[in-house]
Amino acid sequence: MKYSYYPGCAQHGTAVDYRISVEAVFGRLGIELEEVKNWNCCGALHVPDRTVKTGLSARTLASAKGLDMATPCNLCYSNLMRAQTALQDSTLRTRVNEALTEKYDGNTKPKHLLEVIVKDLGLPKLAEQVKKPLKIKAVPYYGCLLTRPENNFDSPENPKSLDDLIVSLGAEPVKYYYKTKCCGGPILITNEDLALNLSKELLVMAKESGADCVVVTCPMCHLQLDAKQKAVESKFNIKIDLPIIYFTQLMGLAMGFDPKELGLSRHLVPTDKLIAKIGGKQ
Amino acid sequence: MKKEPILPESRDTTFRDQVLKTHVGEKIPTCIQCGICAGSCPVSHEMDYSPRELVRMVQLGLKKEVLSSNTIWICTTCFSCSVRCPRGIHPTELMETLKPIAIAEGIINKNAKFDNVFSSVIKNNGRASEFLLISRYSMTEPRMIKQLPFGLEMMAKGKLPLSIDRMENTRELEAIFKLGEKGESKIENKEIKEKDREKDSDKEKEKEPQETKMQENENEKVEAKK
Amino acid sequence: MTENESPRIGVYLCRCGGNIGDVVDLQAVADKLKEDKNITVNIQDYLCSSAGQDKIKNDIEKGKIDRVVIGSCSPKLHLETFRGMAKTAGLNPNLLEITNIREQASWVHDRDSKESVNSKVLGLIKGAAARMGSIEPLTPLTKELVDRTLVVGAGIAGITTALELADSHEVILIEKLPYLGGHMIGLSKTFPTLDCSQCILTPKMVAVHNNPRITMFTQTEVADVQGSPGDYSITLKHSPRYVDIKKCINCGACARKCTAGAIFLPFAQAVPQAYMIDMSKCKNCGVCVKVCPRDAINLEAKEETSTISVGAVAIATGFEPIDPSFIEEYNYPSPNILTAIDFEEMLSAKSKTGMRLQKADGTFPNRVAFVLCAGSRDFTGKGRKHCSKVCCIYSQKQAQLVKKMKEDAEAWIFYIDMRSAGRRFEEFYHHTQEKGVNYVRGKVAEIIPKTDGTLMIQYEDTNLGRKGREIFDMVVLCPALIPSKGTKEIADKLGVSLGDDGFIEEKHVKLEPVNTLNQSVFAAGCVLGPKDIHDSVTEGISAAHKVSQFLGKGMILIPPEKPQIFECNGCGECVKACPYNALALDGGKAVLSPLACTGCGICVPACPIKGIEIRNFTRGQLKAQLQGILSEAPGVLVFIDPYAYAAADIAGVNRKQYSSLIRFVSVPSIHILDADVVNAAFEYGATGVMLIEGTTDEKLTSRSDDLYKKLKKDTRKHKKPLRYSHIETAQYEKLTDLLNVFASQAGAKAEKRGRKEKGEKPEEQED
Repeated sequence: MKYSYYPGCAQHGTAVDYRISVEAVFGRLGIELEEVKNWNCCGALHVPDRTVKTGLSARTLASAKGLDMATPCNLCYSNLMRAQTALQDSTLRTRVNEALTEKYDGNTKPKHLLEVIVKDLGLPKLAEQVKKPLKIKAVPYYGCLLTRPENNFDSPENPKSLDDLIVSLGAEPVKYYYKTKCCGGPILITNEDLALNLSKELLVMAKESGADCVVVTCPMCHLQLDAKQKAVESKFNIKIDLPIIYFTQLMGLAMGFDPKELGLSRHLVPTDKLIAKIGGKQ
Repeated sequence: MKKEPILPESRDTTFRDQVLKTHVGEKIPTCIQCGICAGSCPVSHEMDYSPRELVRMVQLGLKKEVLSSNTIWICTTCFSCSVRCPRGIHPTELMETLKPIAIAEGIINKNAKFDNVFSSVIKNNGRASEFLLISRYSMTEPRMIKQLPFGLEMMAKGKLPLSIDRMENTRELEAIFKLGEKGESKIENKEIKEKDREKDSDKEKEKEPQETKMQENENEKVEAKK
Repeated sequence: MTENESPRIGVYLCRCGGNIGDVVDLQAVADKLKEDKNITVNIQDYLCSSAGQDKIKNDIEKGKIDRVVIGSCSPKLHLETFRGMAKTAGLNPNLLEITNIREQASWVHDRDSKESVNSKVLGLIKGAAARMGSIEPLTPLTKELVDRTLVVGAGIAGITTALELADSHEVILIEKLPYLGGHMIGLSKTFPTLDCSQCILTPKMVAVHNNPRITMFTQTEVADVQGSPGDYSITLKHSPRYVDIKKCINCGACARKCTAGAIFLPFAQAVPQAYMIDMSKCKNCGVCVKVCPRDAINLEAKEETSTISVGAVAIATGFEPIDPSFIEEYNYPSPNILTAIDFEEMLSAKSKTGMRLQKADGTFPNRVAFVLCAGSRDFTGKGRKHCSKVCCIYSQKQAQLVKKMKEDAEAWIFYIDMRSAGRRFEEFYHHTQEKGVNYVRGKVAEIIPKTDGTLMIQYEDTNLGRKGREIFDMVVLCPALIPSKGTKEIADKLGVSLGDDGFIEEKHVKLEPVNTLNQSVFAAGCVLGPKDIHDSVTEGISAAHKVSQFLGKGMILIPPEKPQIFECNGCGECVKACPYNALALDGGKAVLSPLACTGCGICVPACPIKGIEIRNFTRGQLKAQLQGILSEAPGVLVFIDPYAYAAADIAGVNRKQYSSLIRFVSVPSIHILDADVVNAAFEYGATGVMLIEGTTDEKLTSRSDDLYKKLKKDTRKHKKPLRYSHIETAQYEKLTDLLNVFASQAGAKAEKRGRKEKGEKPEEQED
């Protein structure tokens, strides 16, 4: 299995732990991720002009060399998906192509890494690699942009793929009605107060569910729920203390990696209790 | 909150048509004001106008209120409204469409500033280095200084590298950003204005004889008075 | 009319108020037509009015004219009216034809220039007049009707139809479920009077059971339909009940002995009053067989079929609720989230809770929310576009019931628009408000089940512009009401078309609301769209009347446009081609049995020596028509069968715009066509030819591909586009899209060819 790989900016910054775990886990699974050369930012949610934003993703999609374009980030994924749909309009494609050195033909399929694992690799194949079934309860948290406004592999309101992945690792996904609600990440910098209100509800409900951790698929969700968890705790004077784990880290733990090889020590919310419960050491 | 009456002069049909002509415009006239957008929105209670109200205001062409409202900037872009709307209207995309129009109209706020910083960082470096973003944005928003301890904590975990990640060559990005100079909203804006000019001149032609007539009448009146 | 005399054709054009007159310059059309000395032209404001009809009648009676071509609305509306008038004036009805210049011209060409529409209309009329010149006066054939009616579905609409009809006709009533009553037997109280559903329905069900003219079959469906209108042979499929309803005396001995709970009476008031077995539970121990005093049980019973002979069919197969689980944000199914149908059933004759309203844990819900438009009014393709009509009122009734059962219970109704258009409905709304029911104007955004079994609803109160959250013990979803499963199957079997909402299409939406496009098939109740009991009963009575009227004639008139065999070498190709066994070789020659023939015309191109023609659709007549149509300007010729023609009419009613280059030529079926006619079309100047077929009769559609390929091959020399499409009546939007695409393709091709020819011989193009 081989993919063109678009890491997105966060992999080189706030999501360094995500990157470490992706490299470890995908390496072990034999899934080749060939990083796009000289890639550019997708514009996240902060490039207002639609044509420019589409152009930024078109450049990425044009560099796929006939492979599917895999990405670890929900924002990048949603931008690639939206651009892909918008670029089916040949007028827009022609206009955007004016700016590109490598022209885009409109035929690249964007895929989130979760989709690569669940749909392309298949969960039975993943289960074969599980050395240490995780006897924990986990919140499957998808965030908004993995499934909305569009995706090719799951429901926009009530997705199941991450739930299924958690099951195949031997863990139990808790019933969580907030799985696609907004964490507040996109407005963290400009409206932190409001962003923390949104995170609080998610974290409180996750805590109430009795889960040992929250599993995420997106660097922004992780930043918001992990790095900003303390801010939520102090703003509302509550105790959450809930580890936020990338799905690739969860896979890595079940596949028998040492927690250090998965970047778990770089989290702001301590993960040692979780690791102890799994029976690993940090 | 004071509410202005809706009067013909407060309705800007050119603005309305400009929005209706964009890729999200087609379905906007079919809104039934059911409110599922506002009910689904995680932040609608913080908005000057809920997404439902915004759609209504666009229908009416209440340009000033729409573009100066905090609604389009508070939106977290979670797309809950867009996937639930029974008429297939996409309020999230509408907000996105309104942003560049608002900026073009000279609206400045912290969100617009951040978008501006973000765009220039990408344009120049090709990638969004968090360190660069935050430090640039802090220059325009001094309150960001409060985030310093958080930044240090992130640095300690190796999550906020000082070395700036950038592309080897950003010439192509400049070309992409140039596309914005004739972006969707702008082009259509121009088209509509031209069309309106045609319409207006037609109207003027129609009006002409009437006006002359009126003038004549007035002349007659004046003469009669004499 | 004496022979050899040239025909005197009266052309009558209708302004239809401004519907036609504002778009088409009829005077200019008339002036052009008058250039033909055989034609007289008259223009009227409303041709269908008595003044308009009298004008034509007078002209016929005075001998001014002997053939009539009318340019007006669709023949589907008024052909019968005008032909009736012609008959009383002493003219053979066949000698009057209508050219559709409203639904297929003035209403659909807004984008085109007036000149272009004018030249289209002129061409169409010229074509019709050219064909009319040689139309034969024919007399319709007659066939005896079978005076027996099949009513499909025993809900309130079907029961009413059956009972009303049984006054004077024999009826067979079939029902898919093991008991009569349809959805109505599962209702509690009925709005706006709050009388008990079961109390008003049970006497009707018993009346059906006891009526000697009604034969009733439960657990029965239509398996196959053979024959033709007025004389159908229908195969019924009966699923086994394992209990003989004629023998069962409802003593209950079997149920008392059954350890698996597999044998039961559906509910106390069920008609027929007989036990039934759920084989998924039965352990096949045979105890019931032994204890039954009447020997009524047969565990070996198998599915059976029977064949019935009927002259008419009334479809009353009703509705079903949409499964709301596709609305994922409502988290249905979850404990205490139910559909309004479940809510009704809990309080009805079919109740499994002893007619008590209760939550999953058996307690009474103190706070109940009603969520309207769950899947209705949805234009995204996930739900249904239509308003389900009854939900606004029944949810208020249900809210009243909650308040009646417990005064301090809370009932909230979440609505988008409170629609109470119906006699006594606004008063009912007012009364419900007085009872203290809480109304919220806003579509519910999400329903989130809590761990304690309660349900959180998030919404916007759109009157205040404020988001809100409330906790409820029970949430009732009011689901979109959709056609019941199998509606399409039975409609296809009977040659009846469906609307794009899946409900049966009426013959005329306003004027013939219980007729279908098949003259011997009628419909009543919710299979025509969601409606309340009152309206279902009204339609049941109407359908019975219409069936009775149809059967009362005793005879069915069969269109006389049948094949005529001029020449035959006995090769038998036509016999092989006919899908209805209407042709046979007799003494080495092909012979037609006209009653079996549907007039499809498939035998025409099958005959290798061109010895067969359909009367009044002969090659000569069609060619004359094509030449007339194209005499004014080139255009795209579209041969269209009656089912697709109906789609074009609906497009017209909905003002779906398409190019005025499109000219329809109505044919009994596209299978009448051969290369002779299509080549002629190209020669007369058609820039493209389309074959549009709407019939769902597989006997024809299975041959369409071959027809298309053969025509394509045989008309290749013209290098002009030819296309085939299947468009059912409901697909009018697809039709107009297709017409537009094809017209522009054909136009582009013609232009290219024009340029080429111009380059070669520029002078010729000038002419």
